[in-house]
Amino acid sequence: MIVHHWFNTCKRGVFKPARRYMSSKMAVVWTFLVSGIIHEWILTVLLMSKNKYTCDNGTPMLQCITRNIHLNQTKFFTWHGIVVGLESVLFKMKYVKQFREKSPAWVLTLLIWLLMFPCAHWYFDDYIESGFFHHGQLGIPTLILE
Amino acid sequence: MGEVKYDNVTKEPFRPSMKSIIKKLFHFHAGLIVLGIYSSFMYHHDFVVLDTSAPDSTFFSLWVRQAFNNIAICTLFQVYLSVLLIPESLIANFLYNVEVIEVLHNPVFSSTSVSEFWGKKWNLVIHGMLKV
Repeated sequence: MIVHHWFNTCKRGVFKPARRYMSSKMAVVWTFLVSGIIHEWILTVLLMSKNKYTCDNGTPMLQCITRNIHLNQTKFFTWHGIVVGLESVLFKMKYVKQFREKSPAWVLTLLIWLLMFPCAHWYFDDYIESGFFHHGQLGIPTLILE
Repeated sequence: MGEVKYDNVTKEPFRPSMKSIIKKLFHFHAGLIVLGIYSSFMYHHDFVVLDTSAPDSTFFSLWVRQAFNNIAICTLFQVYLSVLLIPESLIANFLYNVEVIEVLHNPVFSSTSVSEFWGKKWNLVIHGMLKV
């Protein structure tokens, strides 16, 4: 199937070559960085999030795109790659292991919310600006309260 | 979007049962109602619930407000994906007679670490693509 071919391409194209040149932790960060670059391309070029206003007045397409890349997606995914790399180091420590075993799941969930979500607008702002959710609302039953 | 679910022992793909199809249809309709109510609330607020543009806000209050907004929109994104991918898995069930993997396992509310979030809960199809 085409899908299977694509899976193998990505495995061979992203994680395995990275593993050849660096440690597995760095390969994880690299894989996150590649995710960031792919999202950057999807949101800047396909969903046209940043350049929807500046492209109206006849400026060439390529110029609007390059002018409006702010690398937010790359920032977001690099941050998450670093956090995942740090976790793999921290979770081997004795006290961290004990803390994770003793504390209930909701405490750990709250703690990772504090790590993940304060900078998640780097990821979601592009979706909101590009009208992804606004357009998606057309296909969903909506309540209108006046 | 889907990846075929294989039996680990026999290496054969799982076949869908009538019970699982009925369960999926129930989850889709119940999920559509929840999604409708929740996304109406978010749409009413233009998908940003709390204002983060106030110039006099301190770092801490901005941090908390942004975290709140992002948890709200991330929950919406999660419900979107988990509800709207059910019909696609049903299409795979009917056309190819195979079972496909679940793409999300409630990542926002049940992960206990960031690596668990990305590795075991969020978008497992992409995870299979990027890692060996």
